[in-house]
Amino acid sequence: MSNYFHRVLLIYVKDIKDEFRTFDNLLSTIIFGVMLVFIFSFAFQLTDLAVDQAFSAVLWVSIFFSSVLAIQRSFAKERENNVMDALLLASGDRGIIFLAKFLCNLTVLLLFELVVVPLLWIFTGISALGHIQAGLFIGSLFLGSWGLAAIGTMLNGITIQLPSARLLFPILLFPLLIPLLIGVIQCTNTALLGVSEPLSGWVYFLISFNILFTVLPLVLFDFVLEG
Amino acid sequence: MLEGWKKFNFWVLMLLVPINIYLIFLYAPVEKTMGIVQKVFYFHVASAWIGLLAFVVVFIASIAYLANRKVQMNHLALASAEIGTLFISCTLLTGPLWAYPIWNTWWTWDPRLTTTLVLWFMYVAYIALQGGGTAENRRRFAAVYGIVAFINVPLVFFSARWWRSIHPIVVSGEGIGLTPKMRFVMFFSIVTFSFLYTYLLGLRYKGISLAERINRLKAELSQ
Amino acid sequence: MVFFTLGYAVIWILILGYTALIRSQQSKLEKQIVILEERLREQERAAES
Repeated sequence: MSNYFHRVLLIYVKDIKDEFRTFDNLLSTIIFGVMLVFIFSFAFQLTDLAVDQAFSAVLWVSIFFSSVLAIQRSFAKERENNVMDALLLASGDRGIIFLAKFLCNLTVLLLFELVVVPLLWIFTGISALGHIQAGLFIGSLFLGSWGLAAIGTMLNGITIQLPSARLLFPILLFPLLIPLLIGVIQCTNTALLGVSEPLSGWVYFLISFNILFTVLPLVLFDFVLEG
Repeated sequence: MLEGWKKFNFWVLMLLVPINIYLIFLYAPVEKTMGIVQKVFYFHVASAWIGLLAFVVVFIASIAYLANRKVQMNHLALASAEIGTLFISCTLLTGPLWAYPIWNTWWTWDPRLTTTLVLWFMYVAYIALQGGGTAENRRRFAAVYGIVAFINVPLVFFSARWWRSIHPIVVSGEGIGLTPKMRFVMFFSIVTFSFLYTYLLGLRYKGISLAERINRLKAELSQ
Repeated sequence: MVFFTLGYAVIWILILGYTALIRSQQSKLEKQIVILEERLREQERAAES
């Protein structure tokens, strides 16, 4: 068992190193996200709408669209350099590859949010939060990124092997993300606006959703990366 | 065997469809508050039901394909997905046509409406994934997506319902008092549509198999 | 009444249109199969002789 996670860790470290060696992937994703956030908050200013009401919607739409860019790269490197077969041989288990890629995508998304979320915060001029609210906000960011990375990694493993990957990936991804979108917007909204809603239910929902979509690919990934 | 079943199915349809139309237009009473528009309801609900049933077939056929790798299972899943898209489109188009004159709105984010729309998106994604070619890996991917997407359907429905239970629904589909006569007609419509579904499924399944055979023949010829 | 007619028209057009489409597609495919099989047989005969 420890051997299993050791191998996950090895591939994860390799991917992270790759990510930071070239850096262009993370950088372009962050720039894209900054642009999105800028356009969104500026557009809301132009229409005189209350931005703090729409903050969580803007936040998550920005993250969802940027994640398409971020996740799409994760298997592309292997494909370009034909490393996939070697990786399959070295890991021996496709679940290991999935977990490593998933963790790598999660890390990239969290780094991305580290830059984009404070920026959106400044643009929209929302007041500071209390400790509990801030914790809830960060928690929902983490839960959202987890689900996004898990589903995205699984689907990217599929689309990367097809010719029309760029178009197919978002088409496959977004319908599956709807329950996550609902849950995560409820959580961020509650954190920001402090509405007294039964919230713990949504947190449990998100956690079980994420666990389901992390375990399910572990089973199905054998069929995705076959032969 | 399949041909015989198709013939039988066709004649059952020829019998059921006229009876169904008679029942809807002449037998079922006109709803007091909504008037005649309410009669769209019988086909609306029946096609929604078939849309969901077709997805169950996609799910089961996908599992069967991954288990035994029979091409037929993949053909069945694709045929079912196409017909499911057709019926879900019917539901999505008739829904607003019915809702607008009654509630004065084309669309509300009711859990059922939301789920139906997401279901439509997933069907389209499934067909897009499978439709680009007949390579073996596309079949496998489509099967994986079919399974994951089906598991997603109840999650969408319950999360949408839960969200709506917190923010009260302005317009609700509940409270249509169905009289026993209406109930019977609705049940009859569902039966008719189920036969329509199996008929179309058989037809489309054969079409996909024929296309597959042409591909094989072409490959043999070019050798 | 308008919406009622529209609702039924939409369903019938979609279902009948789809049925007609796949039926015509199928007959085309069947014709194509006959031609292809013929050509395949010719090819085999040519290879034998």
